[in-house]
Amino acid sequence: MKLVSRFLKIILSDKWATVGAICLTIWICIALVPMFFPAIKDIPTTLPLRLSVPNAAAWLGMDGNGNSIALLIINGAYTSLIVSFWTVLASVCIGVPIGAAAGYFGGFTDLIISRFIDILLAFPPLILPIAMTAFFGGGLFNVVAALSITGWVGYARLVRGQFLSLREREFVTAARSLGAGHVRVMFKHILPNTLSPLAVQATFALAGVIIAEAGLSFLGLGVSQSHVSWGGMLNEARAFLVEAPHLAFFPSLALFSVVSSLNFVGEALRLAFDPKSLNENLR
Amino acid sequence: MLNVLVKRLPQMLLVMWGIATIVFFMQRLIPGNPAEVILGADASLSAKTEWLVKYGFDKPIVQQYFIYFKNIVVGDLGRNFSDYSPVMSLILPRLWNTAQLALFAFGLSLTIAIILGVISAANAGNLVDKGAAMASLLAVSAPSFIIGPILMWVFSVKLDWFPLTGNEGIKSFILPGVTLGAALAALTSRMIRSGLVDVLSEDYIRTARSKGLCEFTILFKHALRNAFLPALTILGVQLGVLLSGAVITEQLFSWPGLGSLTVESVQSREYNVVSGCVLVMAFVYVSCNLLVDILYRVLDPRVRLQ
Repeated sequence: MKLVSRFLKIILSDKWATVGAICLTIWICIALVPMFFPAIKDIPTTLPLRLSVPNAAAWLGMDGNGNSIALLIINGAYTSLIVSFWTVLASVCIGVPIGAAAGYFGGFTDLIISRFIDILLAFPPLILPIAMTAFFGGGLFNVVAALSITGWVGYARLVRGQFLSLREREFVTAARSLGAGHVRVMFKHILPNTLSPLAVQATFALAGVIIAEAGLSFLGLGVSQSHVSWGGMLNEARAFLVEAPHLAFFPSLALFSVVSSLNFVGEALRLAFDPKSLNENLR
Repeated sequence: MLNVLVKRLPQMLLVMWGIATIVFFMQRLIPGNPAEVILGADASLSAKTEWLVKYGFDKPIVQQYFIYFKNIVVGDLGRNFSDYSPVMSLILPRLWNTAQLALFAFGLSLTIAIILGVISAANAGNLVDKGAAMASLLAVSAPSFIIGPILMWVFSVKLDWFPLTGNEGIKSFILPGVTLGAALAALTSRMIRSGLVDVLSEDYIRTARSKGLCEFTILFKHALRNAFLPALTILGVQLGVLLSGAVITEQLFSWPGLGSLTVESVQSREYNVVSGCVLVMAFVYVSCNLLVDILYRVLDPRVRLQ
């Protein structure tokens, strides 16, 4: 709770981070609509009205199949929220213990884990998820799995580095000499000290996952078969770029506002927790 | 330079072995009989067996693994399912197209980054700098499948300056190049800016100023050389990203590169080609990182001495 109120203070002290946080809150509310009103997931198809521009009946216009773009955007927000939430959660749950073990025990454990991380990092971004969804098919679960299998590496690297330096500190020696076991020292004593950089990493990762999911769906490898995705909408909009550019405009705007909001918030948190990087900031 | 190679080469070989192993097992883990996936469930048993033998999928998995490695070492990435042609011969021309686009995007974003970075650093803290910073953050937030359609709509559909898709000479490079390089330009310009701000407070810059040199010479000739080094590490990684990760941009502009080959092969279930593409992309990426490591030492004697 203390951490949350600290985060809020940091965010509210930065103009752009505040704007980002408000924008994110609105998007989360929108994304939760399909969860509580499942009826909204059945999007009515009115073919005669296909490609119509924004009007009073369809606020954001109609897409190429005669579906309301506004409803698609709402359902897409739901997909983005679900995928990014589960992916980041799964990545943290895999990455943190592995990184902690590597940093805490060092030696051979560290060597094996670090080499494995090197190998996973040698794949260019998005290539491994593309290959995995290509081989095993798309769908919500597979996309989350594919993104998590590459996503945990970032957390593992971060936590490993933190543990490497923190394990030499006096409070660790003190805890050990009081008889605390390795697991207790790792998770009860050292881990709380790494939460701030972890939160920064997770904020940027949320943005990264949302882009990655949209990218996979854009390539036709994402969740699109069963769920609406902004990336999938953008892919379909390509064919109508000349006659109906609004098809591409609204999902782009949605994606862009979510991702830049997350980046604003992440940037504010990063600056607050890591003053050394003050002069290499993006802003 | 030689001792960097000696130190890094075994590490790189280990990473490449890991990459190939992951790719191999991923393809073998595809659910179902590969012959059934390719030929269809109702193909006759003899046809399926014949297909399995033809592509070597009938052997025990350990044996397949060793054959796979033996072939990779000599540059054989297996055979295409549709016409039994070597996968490598499909990949090479596509890799060349990708390399052209990537190098163009790289040069373009580097030019923009240097100009923008120097202007920001010279105006550090004021409105110009803040504006550039905001533009960078926005550019980083916009993935290529957002920037691309916007550029296509403005410059191809409305203004008709550039072709919408395909590769027809230099004009076709502009839009995909900008799309691909935008995020890199944004990121690098900020790194150059922060490097410059640090360097500009050094004594030798004050000396240069007191000699009466013009600000342009100081910035571009004296300061930039040192300020550029931190940016080099990220540039190396990013060149690899451009060479290998242009999948979405290539798909967007129908660019006949490695990325679009991957997507096409996924759609036509050419799993050997998909594996080959992933392998080549990862190898290129790793090689780029090694290259930058070496270049870094060549350009910065301080690192060499350590």
